[in-house]
Amino acid sequence: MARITLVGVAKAFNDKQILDRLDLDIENGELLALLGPSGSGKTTLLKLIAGLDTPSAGRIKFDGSDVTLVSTRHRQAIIVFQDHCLFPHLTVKENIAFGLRARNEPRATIDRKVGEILEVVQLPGRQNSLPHALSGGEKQRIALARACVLKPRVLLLDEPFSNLDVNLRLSMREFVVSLQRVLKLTCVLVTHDKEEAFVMAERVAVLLDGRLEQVDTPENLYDRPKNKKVAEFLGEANFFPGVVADGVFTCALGSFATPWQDTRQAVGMVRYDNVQLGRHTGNTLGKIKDKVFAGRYTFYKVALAAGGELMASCKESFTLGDAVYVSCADHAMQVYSTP
Amino acid sequence: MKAASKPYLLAAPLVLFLTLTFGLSFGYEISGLTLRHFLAVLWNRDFVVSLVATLSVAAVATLVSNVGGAALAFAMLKARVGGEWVRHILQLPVIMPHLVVTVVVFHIFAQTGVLARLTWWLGFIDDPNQFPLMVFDHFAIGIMLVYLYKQIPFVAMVCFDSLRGISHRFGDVGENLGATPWQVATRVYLPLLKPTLMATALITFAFAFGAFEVPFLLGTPLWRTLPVEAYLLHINIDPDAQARSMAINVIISAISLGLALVYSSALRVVSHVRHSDGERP
Repeated sequence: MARITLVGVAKAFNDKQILDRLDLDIENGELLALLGPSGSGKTTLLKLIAGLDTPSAGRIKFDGSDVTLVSTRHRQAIIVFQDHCLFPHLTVKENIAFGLRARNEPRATIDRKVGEILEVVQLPGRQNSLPHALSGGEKQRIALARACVLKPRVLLLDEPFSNLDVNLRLSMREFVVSLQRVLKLTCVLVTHDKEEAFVMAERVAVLLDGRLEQVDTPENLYDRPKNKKVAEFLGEANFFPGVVADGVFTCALGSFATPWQDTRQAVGMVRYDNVQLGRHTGNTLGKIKDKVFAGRYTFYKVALAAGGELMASCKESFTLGDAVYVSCADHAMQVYSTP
Repeated sequence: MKAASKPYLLAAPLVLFLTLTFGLSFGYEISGLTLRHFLAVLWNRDFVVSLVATLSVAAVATLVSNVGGAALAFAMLKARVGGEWVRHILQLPVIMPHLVVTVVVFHIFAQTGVLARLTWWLGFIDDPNQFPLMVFDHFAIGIMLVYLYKQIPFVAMVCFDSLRGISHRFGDVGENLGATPWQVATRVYLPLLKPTLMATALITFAFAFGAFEVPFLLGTPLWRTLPVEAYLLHINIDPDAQARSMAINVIISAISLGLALVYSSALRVVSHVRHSDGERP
């Protein structure tokens, strides 16, 4: 495993800036999720770390050593692609042994390592199978085994679960996290699924339009997005325009303490699940306009008496047209300065 | 054409062919079923020399054109070229008639050709006759040049299309796992390209094996390929020679048919693994 350091890494294709001067530190043995929408540059960044492409500017370091110009063959940053990319003409054993054979390891060592890693990925007995005979989950495990058997310095996962059905995806997430912990791998997971990033990663880096907007723990990212852009991307957020004066932000939902003492225009953000709906007490009055049952929670659209609407998710049951009191804790309201 | 009569019409040339080779001729003073023309051909030393020469020329042309074509396709894939203009450049030799290429090769590589006169004019040789014999030569260099000029682009085009159908990421994955470009080519792309190469090898071999005009115009007088031998026997006024010509044609057809059968069997073996239960013993 290795500590990865990106210093001012940029990438442009045909004058189009894909990645814009990224700085990032990924600790030894850490699982970091790179979260962003399609086209944000996630896979490009993964390829730069893997050495499958070179940055237009900036340096990439492993344990302090500059590897920017080290070829992918010698970098030991192994990538697992979304569609597995198992070699279709090779058996499971041959696929896993591919990298070991390329290193000219002795046959006995290859056999032993392949056997061991097949135990780790819980697929012993499938070594003579061809990829087309494997299920999606098995293919993903073999792709992981093929990467992990080389004991890479860095394991890079490019949306590895997006082709799997929901149940399989959940079990594969657990499997990868446990594998990463057992093998103590430094791991970068690329995903556009925020739930996947939050569940699996110790830290999440949000990449929007080629810029790293925030690198933080899942909890901080969810509760305290650094700016409106991040909050919008993560979803399930209500925004209220308002004014800050004398350390108080005032909006349609009420007044909330802020650290700013000057006067400025601002926008407040509160997550759906931080909005409290009550029948008797609250900051402001509203009326249930719409509801959607979603299993554990019910989503309510509330028309505020002071004007505007908000979304709330809670377990309590209300019916359409019910008058409700709406409130939100000070710490749940994030306030962003508007230009 | 009525559908019922179609098979008979299609089979008619074969029937005619066989009757002639087995001695049943029309208008000649030979009659009766016999294998003597086949035996005469098979026991003839010139036939054996022709057969060996034809097989050798076809085998070398097949090997070089398929290796060269596949290498060119790999290079194009690696360099990420293969746009319309590259395809047009590759198509040009393929669509050019063999006869035209034969004449071009003659004018360039013969001892009276452009290269010989150029090297003489530049002072590298004292006389154009000192220019190495590349046309009408014992090693069939001129013939080979025509075949390779046409077949290497053909193989490259077919292989390149196949390679493009194979995920380009296999190359990235292979190198990312630590393989050299050579290892990626030989352990990943070449096995995946095997069915395509088998087909192009069969086509190039069949063409070189059965080609008449190129060895007829550029071949050495010391030995003749089978189609040339068959042609020369065919224009002989001796009816026996004509029957031997037909016998040689049957042998050429039989060898070509045999190759096609070998190809289809080999293809079945190659594809068997993929269509079986997915286990390799």
